[in-house]
Amino acid sequence: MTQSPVTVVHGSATDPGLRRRVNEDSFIAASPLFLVADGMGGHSAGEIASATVIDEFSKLAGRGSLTIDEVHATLAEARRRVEALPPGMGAGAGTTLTGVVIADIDGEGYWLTINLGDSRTYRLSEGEFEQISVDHSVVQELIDSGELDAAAATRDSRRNVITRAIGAGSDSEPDYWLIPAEEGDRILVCSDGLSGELDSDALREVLLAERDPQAAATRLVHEAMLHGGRDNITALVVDAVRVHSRAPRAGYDTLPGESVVDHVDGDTLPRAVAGGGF
Amino acid sequence: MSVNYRPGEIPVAVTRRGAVALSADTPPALAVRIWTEVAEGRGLAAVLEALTGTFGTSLASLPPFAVALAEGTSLRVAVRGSLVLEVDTAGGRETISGAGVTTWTERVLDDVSHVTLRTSATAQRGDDDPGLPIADGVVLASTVEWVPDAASAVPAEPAAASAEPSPSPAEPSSTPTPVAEPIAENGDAAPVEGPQGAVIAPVPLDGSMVETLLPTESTIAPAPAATAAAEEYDDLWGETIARPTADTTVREPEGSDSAGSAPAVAGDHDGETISVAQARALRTAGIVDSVPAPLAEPRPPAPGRVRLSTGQTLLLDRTVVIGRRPRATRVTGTDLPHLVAVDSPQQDISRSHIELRVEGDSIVATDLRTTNGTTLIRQGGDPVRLHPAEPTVVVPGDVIDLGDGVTVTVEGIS
Repeated sequence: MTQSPVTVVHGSATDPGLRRRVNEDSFIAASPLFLVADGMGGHSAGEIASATVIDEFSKLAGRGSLTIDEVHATLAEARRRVEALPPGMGAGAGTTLTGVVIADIDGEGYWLTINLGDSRTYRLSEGEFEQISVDHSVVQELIDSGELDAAAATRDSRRNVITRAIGAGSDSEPDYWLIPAEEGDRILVCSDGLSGELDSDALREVLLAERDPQAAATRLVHEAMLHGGRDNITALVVDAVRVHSRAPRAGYDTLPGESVVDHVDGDTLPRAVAGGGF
Repeated sequence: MSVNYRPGEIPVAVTRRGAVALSADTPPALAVRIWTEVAEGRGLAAVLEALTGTFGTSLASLPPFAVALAEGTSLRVAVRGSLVLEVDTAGGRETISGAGVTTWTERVLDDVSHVTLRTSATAQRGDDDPGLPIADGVVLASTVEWVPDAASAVPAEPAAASAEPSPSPAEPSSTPTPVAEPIAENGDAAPVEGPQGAVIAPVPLDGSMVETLLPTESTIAPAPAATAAAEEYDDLWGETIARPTADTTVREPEGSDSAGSAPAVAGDHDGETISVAQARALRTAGIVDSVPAPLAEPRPPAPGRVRLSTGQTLLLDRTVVIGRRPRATRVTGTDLPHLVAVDSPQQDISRSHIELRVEGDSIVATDLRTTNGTTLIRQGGDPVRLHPAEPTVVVPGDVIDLGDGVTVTVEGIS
């Protein structure tokens, strides 16, 4: 395996949930790819669509890092394959796609985050839990326009209507983010069967409580089952254990080793504190 | 399936599909409910629903359980707490317990020849004590053991649960029986086999319920009526659907005079449906079309150029973000900015500090709401602090000071 700028350990879990017979979620958890696809369309169609997309991306597994152009080209091919699915074998079906891909930006390890649809990518970094992806959903648009607050959104009858997907008549572009990876980062990639049952605080609590990424993924899926398990549930938990940076920057050598990590990852210091003067 | 047990204190629900052990203090009514639902083939889902319905969804209040139920030719086991399952398979003996797991341990095992359920790791069966037989019911036991029937004796059942959600007020009077799934091409997700000759419920075909948004160019085989029924039914469960973004992709209602002309949803039993009426309502509600406007303006004929104090020269052929640990947030399409990391030993510079981009014939600099600000030094003028998040036009010769000795010199539209 090629040298990766981000060394990770990861865990994954998926379950059809308590209500559905078929698991239409597919995922890949193999460095540098950590992606979840949530298929839409019955009679195995959604399952085939999500598996098709993941299969296309699995060709990139084992690389050290990927560029956005590689990811984008793979997505285009995956979309072509989904749209070409034959009748009875997935025609008309669609799928979401979200997750992180390890990227190398000038020697620095990055999380290249991708999203199409309402599956989600979260990041727990230095105790701070944030949702990186922004749902492509009618409800999200209503939230953005101020017509709906977040609490009402969880009960809104339109929460299952997504506005972008792969297949299913959608040809929209994905959203991308480039987030610098930090040692200790924990990424959560999940289908809406998880985020629909557990709110952000509950997700964070489990991610903080379970040290092992596999235990965290399993527990997240199980807790979603306990909360109703109304949809297929998939959770990937990815921990950055080592992140490559460029050659040590000026000034680091004079710092005690212990504080280097704090230093590089820490917040910007106000000038009065830093003593830089202005 | 012959089941023997030794008396004890743990309620164990025994059915022809397998057994479920509960905690000693389980209310008898709850044990009976679980026994009934498991006998109906509702599996682990029924156990979890019954337990959370009684004890709540908090993990802390969830009592121990051990579930070992036939699923097709496999055995699904799930164990929480101190209960122990010993399962003999073709590959040897597997011991499954909930020890060391916050929730429960779950496995699917094949080629199972013998199952022993122990209420604790120390509960032993006497070697010469065959125990008492139980065919079907709830017993108080210390150990239970059985030899699963040949796979053919147990009808295949859904992987997770029956597709019969119970608590819906709008439940159709005639519940559609799950329809056999076509074989999926992808390997690992085994298709679930349903009973043949499924009872087909009458399909309401007034066109208001079963209309599906699909691209017009789709060529989809007509679905059997049962599909439409199941689809309407599953729609109650709010499956995710995609709303195509252009009106032209909406398949308008077709003559719905018979079941055969049900909208060609081809197995859309998971409810990938919204009605046209719903879709229209969404549009009239003013939902903006989801396709965002293209972010990138037409490329300028010649990109701008800047030079960093580090010696690096940057072409502004795309947006540049400079900072200590710069990030790019939510860009649609591949027009991600060029991220340039600079050293800031004093942590004076913010992670994402300044954005530079070309707009028309100008170069625009924006301070990204930084902690310590950005200073613009223009020849012949006093240094000016950039307003946070406010794009400012810069001209050749301008020097932008990020702090910590890092500056950006505008070299102009080259």
